[in-house]
Amino acid sequence: MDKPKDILDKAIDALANTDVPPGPPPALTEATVSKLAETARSSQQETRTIKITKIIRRMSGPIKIAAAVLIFIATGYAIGRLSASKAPNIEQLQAALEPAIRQNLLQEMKQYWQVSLTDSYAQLKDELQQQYRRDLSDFAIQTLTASSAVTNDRLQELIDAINAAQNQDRQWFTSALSQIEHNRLQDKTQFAAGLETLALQTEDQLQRTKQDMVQLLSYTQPSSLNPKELRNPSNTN
Amino acid sequence: MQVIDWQVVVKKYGPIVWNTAYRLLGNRADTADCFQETFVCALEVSRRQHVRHFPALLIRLATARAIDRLRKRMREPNISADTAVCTTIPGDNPEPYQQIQTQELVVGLREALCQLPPQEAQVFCLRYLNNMSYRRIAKELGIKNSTAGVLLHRARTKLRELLVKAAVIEERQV
Repeated sequence: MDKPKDILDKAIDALANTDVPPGPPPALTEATVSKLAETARSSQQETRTIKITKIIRRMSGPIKIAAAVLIFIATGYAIGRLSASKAPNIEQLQAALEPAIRQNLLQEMKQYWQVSLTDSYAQLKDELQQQYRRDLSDFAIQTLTASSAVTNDRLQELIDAINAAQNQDRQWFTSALSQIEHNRLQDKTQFAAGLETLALQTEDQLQRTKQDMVQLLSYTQPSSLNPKELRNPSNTN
Repeated sequence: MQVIDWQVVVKKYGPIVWNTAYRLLGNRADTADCFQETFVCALEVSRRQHVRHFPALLIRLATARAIDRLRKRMREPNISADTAVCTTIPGDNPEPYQQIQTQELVVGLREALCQLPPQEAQVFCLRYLNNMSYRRIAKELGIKNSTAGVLLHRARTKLRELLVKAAVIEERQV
């Protein structure tokens, strides 16, 4: 039987099996890499300073003293040179300062003009841009208005043409129908007349046939009639 | 001097550091800070000495930084060590009661770790959360194997006491 886990083991299991979201995010990785690069750069500078300090520390006693003396002498010379008072020569000073002042003035003027020109250029550019936009929008509005008017006219013309064509078609169709009706009536009349004629003719023919039949039935053969005449009935009157 | 391509190192071992830090800290913001600190610290270490085993070094540094952050969090009056609970991703555990118990244990262990001496806490985390061998722990911390064992034993004892104490207090409160 398994021994029941104590509270510490349970806690260790729980902590070890904690759900960890996938990571690190790419942004963090990039930030870390850039931070490392920055740290490396700054620490390189520190390393250089430390190296100089180490070199100074490595120097032996007499060299250290000699270097200190040298630095002391150089500092003293520099201070003496700087603090030495001389009678100022105005002309020489003027001659020395004039070109520098002139150059500075020129530079300042140049900078001033550059700045003002840049400003005015920017202002002019803005104004031109605004003007151009205004003109463009006006032109666009005018063009749109004109084009819509022309389009309306063309549409009206098209509608009129379609209506006219439809009317003409209707007229043609009506005339064709009336022509067909007229032809039909004419045909009907002719047909009726023909039928009537046929009936009359048929009636006449029937009357004639009837009379022939009666004549034929009432006909008596004469005794003197030659048998040859009998064979040829067409010769009888 | 050792030439290291830190971009490669960060990309390769970043997930290990992230996991180590997140497990101890339990939230993204602290983990991100700890992540950066760990690599900066690794850079400084690599300047001083030749690094042979980067993962172990990074895990050690991440653990140390994370424990420091936990301590700092504990010291701050408004923020407790269980801030992490809010951002912890829920696991696959279907029982809410078990989940709460697990969370309480995790928070308790984090708080207890803050109360241990730094080296003991570090040895404990390296052994039980990162599965490092005694030998590797000793090598990374620059101590003897036996010392690592002693530190681990002490850490376990103290943590158990602290956890039991916390559990008793909770039971009384309930």
